[in-house]
Amino acid sequence: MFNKKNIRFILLTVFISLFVSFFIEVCVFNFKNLTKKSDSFPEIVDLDVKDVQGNNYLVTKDSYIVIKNKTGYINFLKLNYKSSNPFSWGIITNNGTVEKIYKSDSKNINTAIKKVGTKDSTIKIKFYDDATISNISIDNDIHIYWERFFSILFTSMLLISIIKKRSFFLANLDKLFLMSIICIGISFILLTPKAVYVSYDDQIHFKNSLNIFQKDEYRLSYAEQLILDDSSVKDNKVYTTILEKKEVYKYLNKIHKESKDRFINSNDKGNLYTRFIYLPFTIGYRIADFINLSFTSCLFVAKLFNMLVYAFLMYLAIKLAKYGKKILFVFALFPSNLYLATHFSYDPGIIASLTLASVLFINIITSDKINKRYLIGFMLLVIWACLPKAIYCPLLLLPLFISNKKYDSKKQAIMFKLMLVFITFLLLLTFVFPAVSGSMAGDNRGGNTSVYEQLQFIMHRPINYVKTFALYTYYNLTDYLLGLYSFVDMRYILEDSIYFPLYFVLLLNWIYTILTSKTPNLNKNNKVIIFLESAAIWILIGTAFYLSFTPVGSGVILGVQNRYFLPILVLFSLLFIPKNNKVEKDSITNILIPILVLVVLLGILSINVIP
Amino acid sequence: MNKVKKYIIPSLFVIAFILCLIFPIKKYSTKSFERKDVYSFNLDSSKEIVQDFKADADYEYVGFTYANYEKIIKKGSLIVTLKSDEKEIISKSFKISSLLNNVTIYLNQKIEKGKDYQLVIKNSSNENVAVYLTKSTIDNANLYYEGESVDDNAIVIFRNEKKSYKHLWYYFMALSIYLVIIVVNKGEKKNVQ
Repeated sequence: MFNKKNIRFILLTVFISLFVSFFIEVCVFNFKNLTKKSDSFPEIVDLDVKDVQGNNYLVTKDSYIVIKNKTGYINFLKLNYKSSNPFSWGIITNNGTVEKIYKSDSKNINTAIKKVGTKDSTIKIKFYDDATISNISIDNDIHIYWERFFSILFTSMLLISIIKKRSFFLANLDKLFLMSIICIGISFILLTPKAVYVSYDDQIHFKNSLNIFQKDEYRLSYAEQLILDDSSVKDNKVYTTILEKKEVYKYLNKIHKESKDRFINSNDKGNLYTRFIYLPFTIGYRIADFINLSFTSCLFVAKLFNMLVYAFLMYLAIKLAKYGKKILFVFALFPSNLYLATHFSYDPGIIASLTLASVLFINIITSDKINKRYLIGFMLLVIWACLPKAIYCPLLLLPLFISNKKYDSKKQAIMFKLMLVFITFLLLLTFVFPAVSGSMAGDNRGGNTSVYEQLQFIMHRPINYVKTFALYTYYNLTDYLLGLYSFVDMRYILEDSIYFPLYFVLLLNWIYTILTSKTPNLNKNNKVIIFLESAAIWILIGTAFYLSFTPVGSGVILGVQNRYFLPILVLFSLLFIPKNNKVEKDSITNILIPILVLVVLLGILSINVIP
Repeated sequence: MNKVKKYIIPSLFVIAFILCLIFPIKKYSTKSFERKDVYSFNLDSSKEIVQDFKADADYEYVGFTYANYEKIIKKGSLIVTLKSDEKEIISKSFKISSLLNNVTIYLNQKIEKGKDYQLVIKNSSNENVAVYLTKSTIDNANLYYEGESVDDNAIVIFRNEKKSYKHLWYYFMALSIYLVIIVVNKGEKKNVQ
């Protein structure tokens, strides 16, 4: 593998990628600053403030300060402030025609670094509330944004390698996947805010991962609490530039270091088994914390560990799959999957576990004899995924439909199947029993919910519920399986409209991938079973949300999202591969599309999102 | 290795089963004052509220819920004291913070049916703490803030604990997984022979 030729190729790739990253970062993103100088003490040509005390300006409503621009260009305007409450202020450029309004608050940082980008000879800073302002300066320095630099580096290395070694990678999709997800996944982590409130319920997952064993007293540094309680840390409207965000991260790192011995009391008594899935986060976070990395680095390592678990499980799925390797490759690189895998979320762990379990199941039913490892692996993976979301437990019953002849003896087959039914029963106990007994609380995010009362409603008006469910299926089936959010979902960071065109590309590619994959050796019975299992999960998910997330008696089902169906998407898609595809059609475009879409999204992230 | 499989692991399962039966875990059930038009009441730094109440049943714990939405509590605690007949029964300091969800804290103190109690909640942090009040009228319950009577009541929560054998679920899950592995492996051995 590491012969002279390969080493030379690797070195050359690294060199070219380094050059490209450096060039883009310095010559493209800092182009206007290359020949400009900063001005730490710009001349104040006019002002109307309440008072001046040395270098401090006490400003109030309608105060203003006008500064002279001797540098020829103002990239960033920097100033320090102090205020007891959030205060509004604005920068007026283009000779008084353009005004950008900001709201600053000294509870976290007391430095504002705002993008101005003007050649005006003077700019006016206007204030609308009380504050003390000092150290106004013009910043035209070259700022290397290392997160973007490394993202470009990794992406360039990936693309050069794929182009040069395309035949090798076409034959080894598992290796291509591993390389792609590591390069792009790390870039995703780097380019998104080092905070929570960035993906679905990540604040809840982060909090749970901090107290995985539900202790009565647990450590919660001030920085950990700050990102949980104050969503403005990730807010691009409050901290509008990378430089400001860096100040916030510096502050978080400082207060984390100072408050590592801070413990709080907790009454957090949930079910322990639902927390095991957070182990990758907790292990990564604690290791990073133990070796004294900064708070933001700890967050990076925690997310990285979660992403690596997702990558490893999906890599195994692609490597072991007898059928649908391409489908798995394309699916594993869905931006919605990758985005969740690079944030605090347990969904990717569930999706990857159940996808690998589906692959093992297909391998078993298309073989003459059962494979011991596959069978045990299937069972463990489904149990692991069902601990936090028991709704997927019908999948555990799939091996019941494997012919007894494939086992070593009939007795072994019956014993095994009985045990599986018992384990499924144990998993069902975790949510069916509390729901029926009335001890399960509804999710208050759904409004006036009550699991017990909703169940009573269904029992008394079953026809009503059947109607509600039929309508829910009619209106949502296509959307939940093939809709925008199944493919690309980066809500809280990017607007839907930005990635809408990418969705169509991915959808077409997904359909093409299914139509050109090799037909799996599934008989009619197998297909019926897979269909029924998928239908059972569809019904269970809809019913679970009707019970827990929908107000009692409602005619619609609320709270269901596309990501809940991703774990069964690959298994379900196998049913749609045409009958007579004897070989898997190789196409570099088909394989490149998911990677290129991710690269485009990285580009959009690096321009639109402040990490 | 064979000895481990044959004797040690089954013995561990037997011991674990006995331990599960001998040491049940705790299961809690809660009851609180009726919640009607609930609102949060700002308890200023170093001030206290006193909630009088008469216990309608025996309980093992008494507590309440707090939060803070305005400013994050850097350091501080709530000092909660339970009194009966003007005598202090228990006093505990709780290290507090504001988190996403409201936090409920309990005093591990038995409450006797029919007895009058006073729950004194003092804020010793530098920030305001929100304690939840209800507009419900509760029999024999009154709230005082800085000695002044307030019309509403703090939402006092009572908790009882019961024995629970819920951890047997973990036991049976582990046992089932172990048995499945045994069943599958046994079949393969026979096959090899």
